[in-house]
Amino acid sequence: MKRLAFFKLIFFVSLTLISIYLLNRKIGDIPPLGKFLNPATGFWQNAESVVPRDIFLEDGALLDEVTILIDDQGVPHIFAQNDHDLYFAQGYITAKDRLWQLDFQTRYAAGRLSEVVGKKAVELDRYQRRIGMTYGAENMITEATKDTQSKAILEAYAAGINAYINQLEPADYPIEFKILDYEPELWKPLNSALLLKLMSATLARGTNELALSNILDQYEEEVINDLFPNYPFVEDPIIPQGTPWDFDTDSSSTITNAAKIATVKKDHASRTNSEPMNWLTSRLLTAPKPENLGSNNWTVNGNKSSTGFPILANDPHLDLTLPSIWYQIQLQSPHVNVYGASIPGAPNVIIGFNENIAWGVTNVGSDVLDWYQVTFKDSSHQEYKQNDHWRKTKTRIEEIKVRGQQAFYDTVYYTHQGPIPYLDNKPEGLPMTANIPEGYALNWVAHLPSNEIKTFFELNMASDYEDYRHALSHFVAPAQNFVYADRKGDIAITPNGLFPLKENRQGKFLLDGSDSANEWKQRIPFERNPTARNPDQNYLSSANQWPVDPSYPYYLGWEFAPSERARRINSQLEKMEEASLRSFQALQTDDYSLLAEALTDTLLHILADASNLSDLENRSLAELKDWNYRYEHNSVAASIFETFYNKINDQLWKEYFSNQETLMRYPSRDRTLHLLLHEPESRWYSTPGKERTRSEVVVLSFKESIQELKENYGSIEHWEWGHVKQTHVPHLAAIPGLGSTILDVGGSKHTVNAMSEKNGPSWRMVILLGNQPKAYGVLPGGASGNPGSPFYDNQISTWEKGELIELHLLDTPSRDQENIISQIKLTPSN
Amino acid sequence: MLLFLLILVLSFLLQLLLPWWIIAPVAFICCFLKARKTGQAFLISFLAIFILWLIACVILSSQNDHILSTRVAQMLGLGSSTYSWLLVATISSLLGGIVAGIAGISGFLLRRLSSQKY
Repeated sequence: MKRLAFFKLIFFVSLTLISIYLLNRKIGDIPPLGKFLNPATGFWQNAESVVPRDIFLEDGALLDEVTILIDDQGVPHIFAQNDHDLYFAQGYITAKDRLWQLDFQTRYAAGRLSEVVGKKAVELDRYQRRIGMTYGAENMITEATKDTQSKAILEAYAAGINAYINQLEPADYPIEFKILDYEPELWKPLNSALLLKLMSATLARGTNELALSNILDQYEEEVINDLFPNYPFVEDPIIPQGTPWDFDTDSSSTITNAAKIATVKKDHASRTNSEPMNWLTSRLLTAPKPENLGSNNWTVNGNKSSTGFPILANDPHLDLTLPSIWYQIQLQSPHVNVYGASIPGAPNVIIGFNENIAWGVTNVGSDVLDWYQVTFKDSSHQEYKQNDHWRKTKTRIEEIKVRGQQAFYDTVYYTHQGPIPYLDNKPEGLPMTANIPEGYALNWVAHLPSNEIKTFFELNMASDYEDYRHALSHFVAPAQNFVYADRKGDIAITPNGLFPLKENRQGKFLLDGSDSANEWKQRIPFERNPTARNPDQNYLSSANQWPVDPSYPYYLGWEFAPSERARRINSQLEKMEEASLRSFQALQTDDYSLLAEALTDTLLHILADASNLSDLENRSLAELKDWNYRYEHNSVAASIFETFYNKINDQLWKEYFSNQETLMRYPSRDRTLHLLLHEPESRWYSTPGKERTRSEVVVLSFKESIQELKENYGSIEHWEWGHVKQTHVPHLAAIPGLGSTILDVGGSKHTVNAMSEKNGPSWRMVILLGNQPKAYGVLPGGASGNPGSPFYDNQISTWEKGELIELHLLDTPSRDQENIISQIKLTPSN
Repeated sequence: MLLFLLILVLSFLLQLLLPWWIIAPVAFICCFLKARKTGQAFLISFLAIFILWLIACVILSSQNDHILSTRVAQMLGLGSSTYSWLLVATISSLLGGIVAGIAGISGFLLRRLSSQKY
């Protein structure tokens, strides 16, 4: 009896202990349920009140009192008495709203995700380490901290983030920490550099060298010249054609020789059969986008505006995520009063305006990354060849800590050009490595010492064109088209960054690293970067297209984003008179496709002769005939055209340029369009095994596309573009329930309102300069990073409708102002 | 009733400072001292924590208009309807209740075993 009772006791005590143990730890990807679901410290504590409260905080690091007003969009307006306190408060408030995003993106950039999610992220972490993300960030910090001002800003910002972290209890940690079961760590200035490097990785790591070299290896050079030309047939460059270059173009630094091309090492590069990753990291492992993003910016001067002052617009396009990529903020101290979008983790405003000026950015897709084949002396990889001698490699040992396991040590070899990401050990199933050649060193502008913080610090307080130019002179990477306007009436645009001084076509293909003749020769001097100011046309714009026409004496790259968006913007601005908020807003959400306009008639003409079309095919044809070339969310014709065009592309190029064994790529849209419109007898309609005519290709593609739409979406009523495209805003770590629903938005990658499934305008802004600037903006998200906050996604519906919200550049820190809902006071402790 | 209130109040106070599983030692000790039957030990401990947690969840979630708990319901695959948040609250409270319940049984069983000794 007693023994039985004893066993019962043991049984229940064990059961209790085991339950607690299991409920207190993460099992697979399931959060620790007891920890996560209990109301005292679990996620319930993150259910913040929809009525915000005022907050008071004391911190010994502060020099003076700081007031932060929160407006009815949840946007903070910081009022500080000195710059130290200003950046301290920016760090503090950014951490308060976005702590998990700061932590996660930094870990992602630094290759430290395995510490949090375990061994499934090891290859991803290795990749980030091996392309030198931390190496680049360290170089940046070394350079930036030479500048006392930048150093002080970075340190004050870090101190502000840490002041927030230090007063947290585990119950206060953002919900993602609870789901993934880990703790925030203190912030270092290096983390700010890592986030800026992450922007470079997103915007300036595009590389076609391997694909192009593989094509060169397989076909005649004539094929490259024919299908991958060095300038598009149709273009409208950023610097208006005919703008004189402000320097002597016969300068001796102009280089016209073609670079020597390395022989291609056989490479099995397109192994992209990634094993199904689970939801925590799947989003992070998606392949690089085949087409570049779709950012736009433009400005008109007073001659074209209804206000008599310049108006400026910007919509940078990036992968859409919640929490939002951007964080709106106003920063005011005796030296500065600026409002705009900041990058969580980096001090200052990146895109915005002050009382005097406004500026915005789009990406410059110049070739700032080259691959150098490394000739090692032997398998020890200790020495490599340069000209007729051997140089020593440097090694960097990367320690990757793995949750629940022993650390993983990885050796990365560096030549003087940069790291060698993969010797011959490229991992399976990591799509972002597909375009990395094995055995090559990576020479990348993002590894160079730089101090972009200084550019933004100076832009934030700039008051005229000279200030703008001075600020831009510090900027290295990722190169951006900086559009500018001020209330004195100046407008300008500068494709800007460090552009390596290269030979013509240098880096279109893989390069031989043993020949120093192949290396970059310094940089194009900043003063010679393309720029335009106050042109006769009264407007300036950019949409990632070619910065210059072929009269520019330096080589920037051989391919930029297709020109449809740019040409559409310019044609609209050309005819725009009395430009206003309304006309700018309409242009930002313009979904008219110049590709469709150019191509549809020719396609319809060919299809008119086609016999034996089915009823559905005839109905689809009728839709195309009636189409206004707009990618509206309810357009069936847009879905038909898009599918049809993709099928034509596959029919033309798949057999030639898509291969399981070797990475290759298709010719550009510009080239394909030219082929279809102007080369009806081209050899490229035929495949290696079969003679075909243009008509045959078009009719076959049409039939296939209708078949595909029918299979995927059923009857034709369900082919609306919004339904086919499925635009939505997922959570940064793709955690279900924390993203948005499917949104009713139009647009496609070749319309000004560039939009795809998970990519689109990450911030839309319109600034009307004047004696009092009027400003408008919207995010596909909100101010807060807390999925439990009403400000997490409150702007999405406004964004979806294409509308904008007024932005307030406040004068004074008074709590009693319209639109202010709460206040935070930071005071120095005694 | 005393046992019920004791567990509820002590758990509430100690959870403000200590990890969530403090409810187990609380139920264990209270049942060691006060429980009279195995079934009673379980039921009272269970109910005390179930009710405490449920009330806390409902209060916390209500001031948030249930934004977060509805998202968590979606994350856990419990749908996103008007009452999904209540399902999450109920599951949360059930977990707490069960842990307290078996801890309560353990406490009572130890008392019974130790009292049989003498």
